[in-house]
Amino acid sequence: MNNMGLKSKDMISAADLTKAEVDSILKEADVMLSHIKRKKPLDMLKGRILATLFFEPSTRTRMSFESAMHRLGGSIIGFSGTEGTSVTKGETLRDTLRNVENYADAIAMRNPIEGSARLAADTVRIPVINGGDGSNQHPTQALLDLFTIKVEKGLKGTKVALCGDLKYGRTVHSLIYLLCMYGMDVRLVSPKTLRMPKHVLDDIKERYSYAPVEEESLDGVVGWADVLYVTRIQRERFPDQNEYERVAGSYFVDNETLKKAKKGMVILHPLPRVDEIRPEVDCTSCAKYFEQSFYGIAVRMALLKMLIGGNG
Amino acid sequence: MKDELKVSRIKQGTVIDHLVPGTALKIVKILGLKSGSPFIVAMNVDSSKNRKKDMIKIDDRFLSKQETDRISLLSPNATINIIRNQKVSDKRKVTPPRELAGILSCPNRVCITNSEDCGTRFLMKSGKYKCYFCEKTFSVEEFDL
Repeated sequence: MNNMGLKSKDMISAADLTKAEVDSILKEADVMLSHIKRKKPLDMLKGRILATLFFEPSTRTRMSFESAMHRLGGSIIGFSGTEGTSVTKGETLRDTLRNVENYADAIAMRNPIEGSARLAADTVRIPVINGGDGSNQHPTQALLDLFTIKVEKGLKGTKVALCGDLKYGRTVHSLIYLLCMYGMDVRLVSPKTLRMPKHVLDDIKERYSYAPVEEESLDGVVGWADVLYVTRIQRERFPDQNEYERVAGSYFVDNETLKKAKKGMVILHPLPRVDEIRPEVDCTSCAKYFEQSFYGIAVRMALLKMLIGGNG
Repeated sequence: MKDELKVSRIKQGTVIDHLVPGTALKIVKILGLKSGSPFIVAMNVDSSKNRKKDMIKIDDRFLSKQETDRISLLSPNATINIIRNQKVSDKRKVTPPRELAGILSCPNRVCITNSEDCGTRFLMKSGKYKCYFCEKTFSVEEFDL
């Protein structure tokens, strides 16, 4: 498949992507999904190495990158947490990266500092994939979110409500670009203090001549949305813990919420969740967040194949 | 008779004119003038357009592009006059730069540029500056100039 010229490129921000590139990633992810379902062993990235550098905690992103690389026949090196690395001795990010590029063919990195992924991409010659840089961006999550919407609801005319921590949540900062790129109707639900940053909304308006409606009540969107994308209010991102306490638990989805939902509505969540989706929802047909996590492997396989290249 | 402030001419150097009133001392600091060439600061003087302005005359000193870029952020209508042999040899209006590289810190305290010595870069977008690294946009007032 044509990789749309993504080979050797970096994946830093959803704002960098063109629609043609996203189309080709989704198409390749479809192919990868069929390979996964057929349990077909692949060797497209045999002999290639992915370095997973996770400077802050991750379960799904790191493991799905590793699963994706293994499924493509490649191998993994890296770390999760900086303990045991020279970062604890004060080594700079750039020095760490300059060494790692000698050991691997691509880097998937998560770092709590905003802009770290862009700096990484400017520092090394091998492709860098942003696995989350603080509250800024998480483009591969947005791609797998979009892929899930495509599989579960289709992309044309789909109405999506983004709910929760829209200020610090990096997944929604990336996803909103892709939703608007595909002309979807978007509503934003959050407490006043956790609204989508103005710089993101300004950029969306400039690119797509579109201004998503902002609301504070979940009740106003559950009967409207085809997709309810719920995010965790992230304690670790708040500079002021009092601010966190004021908004923690602002929203939750339970079976009562679902009684008011539009028929066929699906609920997505980048996970981990805390209490914003009650466990009773898990066994309903609306709950698609574990499938979403599964689709992440297909999307990351597609990305690794397209960015690193290889056979087939 | 109109009151006029007489300021002596300089033989060679730079006159920074039409500064927003109150910005001259900040620009003196930015240019590090206190320990360098002789200079004259005039504040709140009448401009020809019947408005107030600040003005700085610096003897035997010419400004770099980075310096005029910073002046343009504080005073977008400032003019830079190059003086040679007591005459204005070149006069130009400052223009807010489309890109700011390495001259201002990112106001986002969790931007990588504030923890790694990698330099800063901002690109002008709709009258604001967007950090190339953390992707946040800032108005001029948000920078520590």
